[in-house]
Amino acid sequence: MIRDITIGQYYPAQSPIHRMDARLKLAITFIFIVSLFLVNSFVGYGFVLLCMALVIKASKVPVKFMLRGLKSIMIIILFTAFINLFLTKGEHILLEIGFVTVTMEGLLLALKMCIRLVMLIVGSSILTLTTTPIQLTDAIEYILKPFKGIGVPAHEIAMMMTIALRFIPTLLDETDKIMKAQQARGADFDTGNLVQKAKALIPILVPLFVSAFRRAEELAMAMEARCYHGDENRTRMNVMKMKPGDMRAAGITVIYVAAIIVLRIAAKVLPLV
Amino acid sequence: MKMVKAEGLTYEYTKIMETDHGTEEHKVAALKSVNIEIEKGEFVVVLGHNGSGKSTFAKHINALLQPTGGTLWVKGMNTKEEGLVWDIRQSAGMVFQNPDNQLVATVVEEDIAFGPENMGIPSEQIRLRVDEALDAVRMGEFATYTPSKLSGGQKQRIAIAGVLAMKPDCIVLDEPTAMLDPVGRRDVMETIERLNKEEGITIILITHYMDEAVRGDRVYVIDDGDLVMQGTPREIFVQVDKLKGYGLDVPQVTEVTYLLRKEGIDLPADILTIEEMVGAVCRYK
Amino acid sequence: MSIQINHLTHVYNEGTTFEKVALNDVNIEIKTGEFIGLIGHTGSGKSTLIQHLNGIIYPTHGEILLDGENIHKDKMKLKEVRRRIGLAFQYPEYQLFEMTVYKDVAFGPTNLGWSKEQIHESVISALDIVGIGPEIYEKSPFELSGGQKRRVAIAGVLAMNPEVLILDEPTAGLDPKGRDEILAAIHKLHEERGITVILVSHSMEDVAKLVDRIIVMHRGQVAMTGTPREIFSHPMELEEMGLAAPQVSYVFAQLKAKGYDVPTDVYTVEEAKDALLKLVKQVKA
Repeated sequence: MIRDITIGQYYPAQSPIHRMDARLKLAITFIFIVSLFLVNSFVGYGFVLLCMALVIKASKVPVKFMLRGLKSIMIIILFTAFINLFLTKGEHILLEIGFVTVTMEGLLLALKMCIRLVMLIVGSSILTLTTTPIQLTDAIEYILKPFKGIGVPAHEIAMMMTIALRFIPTLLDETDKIMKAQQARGADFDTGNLVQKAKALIPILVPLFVSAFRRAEELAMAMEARCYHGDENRTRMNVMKMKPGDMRAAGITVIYVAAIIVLRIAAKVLPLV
Repeated sequence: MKMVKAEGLTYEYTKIMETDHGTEEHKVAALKSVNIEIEKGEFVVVLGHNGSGKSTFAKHINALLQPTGGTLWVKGMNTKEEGLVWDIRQSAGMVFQNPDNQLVATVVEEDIAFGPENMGIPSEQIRLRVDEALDAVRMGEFATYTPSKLSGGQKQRIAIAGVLAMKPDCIVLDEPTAMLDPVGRRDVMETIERLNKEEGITIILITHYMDEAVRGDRVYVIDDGDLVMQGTPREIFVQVDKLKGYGLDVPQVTEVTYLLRKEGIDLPADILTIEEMVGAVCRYK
Repeated sequence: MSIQINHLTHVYNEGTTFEKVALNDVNIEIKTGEFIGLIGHTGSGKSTLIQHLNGIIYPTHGEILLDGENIHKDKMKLKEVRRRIGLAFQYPEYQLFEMTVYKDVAFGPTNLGWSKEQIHESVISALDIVGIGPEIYEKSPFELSGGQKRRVAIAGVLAMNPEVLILDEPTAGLDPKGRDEILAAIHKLHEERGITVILVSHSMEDVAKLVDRIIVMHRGQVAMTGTPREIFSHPMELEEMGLAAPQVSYVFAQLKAKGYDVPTDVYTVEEAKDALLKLVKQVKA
């Protein structure tokens, strides 16, 4: 049931990808996503896929886990494919039934969009599967820090993420308990029409909110008692440091970006599809 | 210098009550002119039923609440002085009732580091403090666990470690065992006693479990905001009727002794533990 | 109504690396009108067991018979099973959600589709039994004291007129006064309505005062079953399972070990007083 939902899908392993600095991983993931939109040929996609396969191999995370993230967004992928397939105008008409036209251009575009989306999801899964939530939050805080001057509350965002991660399992457990308790009082969550089903949620949501507020209040007090006063003069136990391995990774990324640009230019000059 | 000293400590708040004539404001006194002196290294127990004001007292020691009357000093620092708040909170750490609602981080050691991080301690020293604190509560092997995978008793010990890492002189525990099972309660109590005996940390334990209260050096009973009894556990627990009047329990053996004495059996009145009772019966002639 | 549990086994996350056998071939029979104390430390399987009785979780193997009929035989009847076997979870006050006490207690009966009069009658009667008076009916459940909230939540289960009432740790986290009020309500309920009660508790003192029969769970199995007198005369075995007997049981076990001629099945304060009086008189004579 509700316990099946896993959040923060970290896959513990000893690999060069796991050991990499979280800030660097975050930056590389960002570069990777941008690169996906730079590539416009199937040869290019082939290259990206190859690189991704090498990284996945190095990460020691089973491919099965990588693909798991795709399941939940299958509908979005299919929807994108359909939109592109049917709504792209072009010269090479492949199929025409009534007002539905499928063109060669549409087919290729649909295919490319699907490949992009799949790679995007799998690529970001590599980040979340090899980085603990806490490293990720720290990395986000670090990367946002320069924007503090323009009013981005970097520390607060990171603290909120940490607390959310900390309390998600607790609140899931609580939801489970409240559902069971209301079921024991004859509540029915499975039958009825949409309105009835929505109404049946009230006995779960009200106690859940009340409890979340109580927890928030108690946590705030506990944090205050432990001298929390924002990030002023705050130090950290774990300081992020770039290691030689990270330098190598950065170097590889530069080569990757160069290759993507070369492919992009090549696609214009050579007749690559 | 006293660890904690309260002089005429009073705390009033306004409660809005809905009546037939609309809303009315009532002044409620949660603490009424309480005087308490706690020495360094003492193990003090504060008893009282729910709503008696004992938690309010605890929060004053940590400067989470400011007195509306009277004064409270922690290591000579007046809690009303705003500039001293962080020093007071570092000197007198606090552990709360609900183990789930006081851990901040998703990894045990990160959570313990939270206090020292807030204090601005250099990174290498935080690492040392975290390891020491984990050892002190015997939770070293759980350093990299996520708190949601721990039992209630283990979470409470992590909360204690989180306070220890701030190197306090005094720890205030507000009903730390109320939500725990017997095994968790035992572990937490052992931890508290060890910190008191071995590290010399002043303990202020708020509870309504009598078997915990008998282990303290001094017991204070708060009822309806008033400090109504104080003394050693022996002095307090012989007053069975009085305690029951305040909505409190006495240990079973103390109650049996009390009933036997009423029957004219001459046993010592201040029996608190199983061993003492067995000993007294054996010596009885 | 009789409950028969045959070869009940429950495995969480079967077939995964998180597989955990919570119940392992449990056989229990509970007769109509019995007052059962179910004890066992955290993780012994007692919570899993009671959730099965109410049909909230399904057995991996084995069956639960209500008056001879398998509760999972007919899916449509599950709601009726949940009415007949009321289950009040630990910290039941966390399930309160309505605007008023009355409406909250009426939630169960309303789900059952009862008539207005029927609902009214059962709500009033349930609130009366837990000692909540009419002056509180229209209050918001969130403004009540901890003990009152707990009693209202239990009334919410009672209002469905169950034939069996299961209470999971009904006194957890309450002060002695709140605890005594809840226990008094449960006692009254058993006396007046004659329904079967299953009390899950860590507190041996609570169990000792109330129940007819104790079932001790350990590692997913029934480790002991018998009257409180039988169970509490084995304090050492209970200790090994992370449990404890009432304090006075230990006194008598130790006196017996020292060669005194005392009964070893003493577990209440009153009995202890009488037994010790007798012993003292023997010594004098």
